[in-house]
Amino acid sequence: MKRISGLLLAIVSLVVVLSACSGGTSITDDEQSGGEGEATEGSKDVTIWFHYTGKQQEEFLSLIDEYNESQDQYEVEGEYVPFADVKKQLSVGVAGGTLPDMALMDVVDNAAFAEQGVLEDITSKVEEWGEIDNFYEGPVESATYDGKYYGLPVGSNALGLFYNEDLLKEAGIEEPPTTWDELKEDAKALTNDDTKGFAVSAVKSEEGAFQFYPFLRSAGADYDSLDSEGAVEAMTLLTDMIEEGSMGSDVVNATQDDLARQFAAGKLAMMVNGPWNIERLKEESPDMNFSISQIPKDEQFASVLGGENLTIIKGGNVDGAFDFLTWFLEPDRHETFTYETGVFPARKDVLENSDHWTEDPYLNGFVPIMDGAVPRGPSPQWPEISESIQIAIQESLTGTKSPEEALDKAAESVSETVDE
Amino acid sequence: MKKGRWGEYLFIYPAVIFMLLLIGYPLIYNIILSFQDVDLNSLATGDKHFVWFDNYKALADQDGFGISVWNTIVYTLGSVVFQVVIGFLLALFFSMKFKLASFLRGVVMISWLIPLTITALLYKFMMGSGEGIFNQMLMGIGFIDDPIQWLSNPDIALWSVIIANIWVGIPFNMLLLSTGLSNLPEDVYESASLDGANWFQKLFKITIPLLRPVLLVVLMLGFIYTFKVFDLVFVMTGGGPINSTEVLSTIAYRLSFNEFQFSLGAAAANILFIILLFVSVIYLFMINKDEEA
Repeated sequence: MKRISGLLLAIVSLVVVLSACSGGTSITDDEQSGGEGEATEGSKDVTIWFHYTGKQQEEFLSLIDEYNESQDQYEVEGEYVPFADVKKQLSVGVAGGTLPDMALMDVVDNAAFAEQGVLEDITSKVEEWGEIDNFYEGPVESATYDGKYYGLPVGSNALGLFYNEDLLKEAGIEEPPTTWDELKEDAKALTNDDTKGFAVSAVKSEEGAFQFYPFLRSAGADYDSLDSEGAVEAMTLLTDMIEEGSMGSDVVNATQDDLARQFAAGKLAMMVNGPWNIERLKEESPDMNFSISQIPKDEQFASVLGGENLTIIKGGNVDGAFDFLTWFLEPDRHETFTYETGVFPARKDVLENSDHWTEDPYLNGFVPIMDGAVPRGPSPQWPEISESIQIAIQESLTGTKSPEEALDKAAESVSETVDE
Repeated sequence: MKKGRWGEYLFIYPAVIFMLLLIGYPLIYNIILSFQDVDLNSLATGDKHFVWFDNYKALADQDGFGISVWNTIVYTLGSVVFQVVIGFLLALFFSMKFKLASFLRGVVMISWLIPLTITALLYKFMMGSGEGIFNQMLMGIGFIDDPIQWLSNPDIALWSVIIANIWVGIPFNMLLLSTGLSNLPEDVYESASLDGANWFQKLFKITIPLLRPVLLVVLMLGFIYTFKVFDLVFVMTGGGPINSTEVLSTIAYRLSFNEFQFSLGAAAANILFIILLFVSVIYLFMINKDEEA
């Protein structure tokens, strides 16, 4: 009897669960269509998910308040979502029909979300607005998919070569390296028992692919030509530097933050990193003299673009969201916001007409770099492509495979991904 | 249980409903998800058609899936064996009633109280190949000449994460086994002493057989707890270098929330679940048998 009643209980439970399941799905659908209907009525509220922290968050929230006070038509509300959770939250939001009207996202994710149908195509609005030509090409490209606009860039950064002036002087190096040969030579001269000459982050995450991209592009290769001679040269450069000992083999496990920490402690003479770490370096090692220059080149100077785009969610309050977006991107406001928070403007006219960046002793190193910074991809399959690149980097840098073998394999899986 | 007492079941329904909603629903939803073809697009449109076992086939072809299953098993067995052995030895040590024994036992618990993310960051730092304290110490005493690439050598990285996890898990094992030890009857030991049994004989002939139920619980809980590891691996290595520390939970997370292949991610999570279910059933079976005996 015990057995049978237990079984009965289980069956009843299963039925309850299954019906709850199908019920859940239909509720989701209803909610979603309901939400869309509401939005087209010319709704007032605009919610934004953003991952700004610290100073950026303060500035962003006070700008939202300013916008709300400046007009009566729309009421914007900012909701903080931690950077690590942005993609997860958006996915959950799609499933549960609880999406915001706007979302801030990393430039590299914009195309994927556009392809997945989450974002609103704002091409006609952008064209009507007529300001897009004042923006840098790279950031704008990151917000486009299939020739259409799915967001606008609101802040940019890129990677540069950070070097410790004191350590370079000690080693008798007057100017930072500008070519790959010089980089190899200088890194070797800068390496001793306490200090490594050079480092990139080759960790198994987007950071690893991000850091490798400048080298790839400098050699004239790209993600769709990973088996080309240039790509192999770029990979060989980094692999050689590990073999020669001028780059530590634990770079395969070092994030960009880890590099900044080692650099601040004087354990690293040169590193590839971004402007967001400048403030931190100044704070942690106020006595250290460091400077920033172009990442050494093979064929041409190249860098990779980072930053954020503000996107508008499909079915949300599109008119309100676009109104806030253009208000937020007005030149003066954009200048204050980006400068105050230590990033670069996405607008060319802002950077050209302001001396904030050119007069800052650290940020000015990035001014020429921004010119040659290109976005990764853009491709809706970037996460998969990036993973193939990350694996290739790690295989080559750990000596598991030769640079050619690792890149051949990556090229194959990238072409499979793109063809899908 | 007598017949015709259905009224009694009313009392367990609140708990059953609670479990169905909070445990049953996500579980079943996940299983259904793994048989459908779902990405962000189909979530939004609601077009979730069934592809049945295609996801599981695609998963098997996925780069790094096979190794992640293997890694999960090695990680779990390696961790649990050392955790239990060291935990047991410590429990024996602290069961000798010396001064400060209970205080020191409390101190050992600290490693279990630290949030796992913090532990992971600390170990990542300590296992750095150049500046890390592990290498500094080992080289200082002349045990090794060249620094060990704890986390950057694909052949070693998994074991480095296991070492960190052993450290985390020892106190938990020690505590359960200590409780078990203190419940053992004293008179058995007394009569064994009278018969002239030595320490090892007492350990293997009395302590371990009597502790069997507790040891089983500890082994099973350790297995279940370790098998679904996520944070430690994610923070220490992110699954790298290459795929050398990729485990089932990290691959499920990456597929779902990095690549939006929710169905593939669900399939990976289900494989994790099925293995754990299997182990849990064995555990329940053994508990039942022990209680009946």
